[in-house]
Amino acid sequence: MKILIVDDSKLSRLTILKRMPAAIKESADIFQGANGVEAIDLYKEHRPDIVFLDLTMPVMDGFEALGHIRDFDKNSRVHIVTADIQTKSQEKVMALGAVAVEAKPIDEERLAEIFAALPES
Amino acid sequence: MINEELQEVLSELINIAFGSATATIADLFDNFATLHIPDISFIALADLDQFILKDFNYQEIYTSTQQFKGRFQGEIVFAMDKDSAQNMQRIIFAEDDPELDGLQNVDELKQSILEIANILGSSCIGKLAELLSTNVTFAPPSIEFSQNLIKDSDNMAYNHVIVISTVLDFKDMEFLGKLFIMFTDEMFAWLEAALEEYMDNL
Ligand SMILES: [Mg+2]
Repeated sequence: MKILIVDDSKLSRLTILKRMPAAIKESADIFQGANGVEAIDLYKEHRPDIVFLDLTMPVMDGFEALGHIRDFDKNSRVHIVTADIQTKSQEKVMALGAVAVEAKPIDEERLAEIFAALPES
Repeated sequence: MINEELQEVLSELINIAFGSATATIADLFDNFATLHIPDISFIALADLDQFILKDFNYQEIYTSTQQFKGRFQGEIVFAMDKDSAQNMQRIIFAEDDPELDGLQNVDELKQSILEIANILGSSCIGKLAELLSTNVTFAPPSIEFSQNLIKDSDNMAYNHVIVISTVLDFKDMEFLGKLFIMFTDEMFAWLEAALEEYMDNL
């Protein structure tokens, strides 16, 4: 499995890494980026099975990156992990094709659910 | 001063806390705010004046202060320029009330700032406390019309300031302000330990 984690905060990337199921962390290829442009580049290069994407980032924000990733691959599975818990932001990213919006900080139980819901590849 | 790694941790926790505070205010105004990357500075109280002069060149500043207590305690000062305060007043109160004279307007202006400061400060600090596994209580906020952010007599005990430059960027309006979180040496040490614990338990 390939996992892409994109957030400008090292803490938030580390939170996802540390809290994901151990078995998955050990077996997966994990790629990390710090802004929307890196998200798009890493997505195109590695075609990850799942993406964790922050919204508020420098260079290019997560809204825009999500749009590009969805244009590139309509089967992409992008979970937005964000401090922006406004209903309208959630509606916006869902309309862009995100799988779900996760409020920061994401916890272990939710990460386990997310990975359990991934289709077998 | 806390080390760079912990500053980064605190910045992201404040980012999360500020996001939840912004959502509360956006809901209140039935509006939507674009969140920006938080601009957070850690400074010594002694450098605050210089920091403000350099960076916060407002003609008239309205400040509200609020103490928070608990294992985590300190004081929040929220400062806003006049334009932002008036924009906020326009949203909170019906603007076209012919009965309003100058005095009532000033009173409304203060109430508007107090309301926003209260929500922003308490939900931001409340969320930060929650992330650090503690809880805080808040004293009622009070408001000043003043260019002096720090009243020497009140704040002698504080040595450290975290400055969050806030932009509430709504679709049709921007509110610029700064949130100052002030701590004693003792609280700063507590905060440092709490951040380390947060990292250890991640
Ligand atoms: Mg971010």
